Amino acid sequence: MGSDALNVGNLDSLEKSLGAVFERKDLRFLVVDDSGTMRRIIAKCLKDIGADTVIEAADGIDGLVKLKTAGKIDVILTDWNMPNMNGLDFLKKLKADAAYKDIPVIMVTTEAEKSSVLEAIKAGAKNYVAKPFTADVLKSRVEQTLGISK
Amino acid sequence: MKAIVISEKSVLAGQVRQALSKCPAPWDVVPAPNAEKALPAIDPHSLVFLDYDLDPLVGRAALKTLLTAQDFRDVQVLLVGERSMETNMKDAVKAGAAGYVLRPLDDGALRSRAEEAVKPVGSRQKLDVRLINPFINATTEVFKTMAQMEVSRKDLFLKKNYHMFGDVSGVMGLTGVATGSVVISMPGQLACVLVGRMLGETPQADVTDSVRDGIGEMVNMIAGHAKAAFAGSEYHFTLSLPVVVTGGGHEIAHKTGAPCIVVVFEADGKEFAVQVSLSPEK
Ligand SMILES: [Mg+2]
Repeated sequence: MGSDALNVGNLDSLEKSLGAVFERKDLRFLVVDDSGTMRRIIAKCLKDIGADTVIEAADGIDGLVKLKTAGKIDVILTDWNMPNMNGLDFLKKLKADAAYKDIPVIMVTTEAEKSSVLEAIKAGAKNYVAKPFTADVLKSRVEQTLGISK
Repeated sequence: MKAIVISEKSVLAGQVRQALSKCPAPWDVVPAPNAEKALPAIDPHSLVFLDYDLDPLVGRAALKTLLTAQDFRDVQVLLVGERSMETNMKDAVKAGAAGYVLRPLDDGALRSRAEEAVKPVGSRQKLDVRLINPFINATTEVFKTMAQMEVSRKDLFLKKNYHMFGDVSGVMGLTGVATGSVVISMPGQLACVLVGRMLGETPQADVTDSVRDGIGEMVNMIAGHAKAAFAGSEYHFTLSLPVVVTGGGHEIAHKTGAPCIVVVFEADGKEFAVQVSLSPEK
């Protein structure tokens, strides 16, 4: 009996802690990367942490186009090294636009030099993930960013 | 140095032996009647003389046997033939032969072509570990992190030309303070396994656009990971966008006159190569 009571208690606290997750209804992401492989890897990680919708774009320009019809977006993850419009220019465009400037942006890039990270943070990036990354690192950074953005 | 002479007639081996006997470094000359019989004698860095006064199809098949049996190594194949075969030999050079020597043979010409063929490409012939180590670390790290694959190092050498190896190559042009390129080349089968592992999916049976895309992103990550190690040095570079080519024999686009360092690795029981050619700030 004692152990049953304990189980109920655990379920209660589990439900409470999950509540925070369940409240984040309809989690929507935009993933911008010129590599389709990388977009799929990132999308898989996002689905693992409960993403409902992952919209993909192949470069900054495509990202801006997709945003127009995307509806609510919770987090944007963008590569840096892309054709047409790179990730840093894309980030600057977002921050200059009243409609998008509050969407948190995570840079997911091979640009791992300190100076590059600083440049992106200065331009308004909320978080930074260096490629190559493990799924766990990416997931925790996204969760961290979602927490911050609340 | 080892020279293997492939000819149905033994006279060519004698001519090569005589010509190379005047070289300052000693040459070991080994005759073989055909490409298949020559294979056991070929070591990774041999020079092969191939008698090309053959039916062009037979010649091309022999060349292919020699080049594919030694993929990711630097075997150089010099063709020997009559002037009437020159067009065929030029085609063979496009397919990966190092060059050709026309009959009648002249000792001096034979010797200079041989010495030229085994000379590492590029002006500075020193192997700079400061340059190559970040790329070795980056390759190991990217395979481990993105595909959960362990790689082991098999060989390291200075390449004799700017040709690429393998079925599939991801090429990243490097610009900025230093200029050059980094290329990852592998058999199609390994490319499929690698990209499958990155995506956590069953590998594709063929090198599809999706596999090519994955190899492009691999070279992007390897170059990007290595880049951080060069911050503030004469080897610092900026990434361009990756390009993927399929089919061997391509020349790298960014020929800077710099040496080309090749690292041969093994992953999943198959070899692949990373070649780095980077010219530092003058
Ligand atoms: Mg990219």
